[in-house]
Amino acid sequence: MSLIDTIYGIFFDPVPTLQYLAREKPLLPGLLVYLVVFVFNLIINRGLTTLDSEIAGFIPDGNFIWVFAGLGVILSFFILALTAGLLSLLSEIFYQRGNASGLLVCLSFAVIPGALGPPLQYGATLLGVSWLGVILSLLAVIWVLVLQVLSLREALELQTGQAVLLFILPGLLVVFLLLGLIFIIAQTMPSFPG
Amino acid sequence: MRKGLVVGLMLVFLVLMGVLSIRVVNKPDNATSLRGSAVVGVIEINGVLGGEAASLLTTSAADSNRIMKAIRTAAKRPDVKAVVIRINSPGGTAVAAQEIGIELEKLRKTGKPVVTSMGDICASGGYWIACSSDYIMANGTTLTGSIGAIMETTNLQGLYDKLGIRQEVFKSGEHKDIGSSSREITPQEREILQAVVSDSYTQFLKQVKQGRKGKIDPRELEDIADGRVFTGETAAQMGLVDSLGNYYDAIKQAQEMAGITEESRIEVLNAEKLWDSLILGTRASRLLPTQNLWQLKY
Repeated sequence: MSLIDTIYGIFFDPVPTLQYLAREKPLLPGLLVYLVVFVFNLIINRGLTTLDSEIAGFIPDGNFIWVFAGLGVILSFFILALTAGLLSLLSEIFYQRGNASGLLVCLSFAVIPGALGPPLQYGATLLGVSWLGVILSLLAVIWVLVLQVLSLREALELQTGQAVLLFILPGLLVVFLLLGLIFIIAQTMPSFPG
Repeated sequence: MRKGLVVGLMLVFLVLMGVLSIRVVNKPDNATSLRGSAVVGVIEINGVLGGEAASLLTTSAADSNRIMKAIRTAAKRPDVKAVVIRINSPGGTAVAAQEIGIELEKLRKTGKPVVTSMGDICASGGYWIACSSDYIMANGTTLTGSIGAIMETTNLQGLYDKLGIRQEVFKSGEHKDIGSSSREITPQEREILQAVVSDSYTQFLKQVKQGRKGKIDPRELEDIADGRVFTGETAAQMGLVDSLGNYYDAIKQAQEMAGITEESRIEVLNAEKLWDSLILGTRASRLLPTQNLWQLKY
């Protein structure tokens, strides 16, 4: 499957494409696509900030924007790897199925529709229908989320329900952790000398 | 074939939007080109005035060259009908203020009204620039005034002595090392430098008298032009500013003065370009101040 076939497949035939990616694991093209989408979104979003603000020059001083962008690239790759590793680990624990590298590739390609959101928003803003742009951008985000769940399902060979649960599990864990912390703090508070 | 066409069309769309985006960031005056035809140009003056671009450690510096370039753009462009100078500056080098002021005078000669909108602070050199506009609007709590000139030098002789540093000077004339930080200033040098400051102050006073002609009594002005600062409200009562209002009021004032009745656009003419933010590396080389230890400042 060529890169064009893969990109086309992600849009119009995601399930077999993700199955192929999970099986073949083309890591380098995956990371390259992920990088291109990230950088492209960065440029478009910078344009959107300028276009959207009535007073374009009131955007923050851009001296450090490329330093932050560079750090953002590194951080996003780190988060991508961490997500793939963590979800694969959780899948191994709960469902005895793991495929971290396959999942990493699938998640890399799953961001492709996300590249459409900011340009559509940008185009809509140019045409004076920015509300439509926001909706389209939101739809692109939802599309990516759906593809990420599909990535989990296909890469880890899970059922849809299991994939959804696994996808939200890290978030749920954080919420429970925070609730636990709040509970502990609440229990400790009265013991402070008044 | 069909797949290639679909992916290709998507790529073309993305590249087109990317190019447009870069164009907008590089030339913000194109940002709202689909709305209105008359333009109110905004030129921002933020930070300490100087002739150098902001460095890594002085990101707030207002580069006079860039500001003058924006003023010239406003003068040349036929669609720019009025200009608002948004000043948020405590002043800076005397030359930077003077140069910007001269360029504003040229702009006004083209018949385009220039309105100053004062931000948090518009003092000293910032006020010099404001005096080169047709109308000055301040916020009630803006800090303004500080009409005066100052030159400072630091005598590091004591420190050098402690460190065992002795500067050897070879000079062509008696006063070539005037203001040197390695020795005590002589009475004659003090007199020379004071004369420079006084002359500069006289020029500042002349600029204010000219800019606020008919709005403030010259004798009253001399009484208050001792470097003190005022709030915008006090300055309005004294005649140092024309009225109180925020940024948008200043835009409206500029539109009215230019007789703009149709829908107009607001464009920041000296907004930072995409490429400017890429030259961080070249700016980083200026971590240490490159100017002399003493400068004439407003």
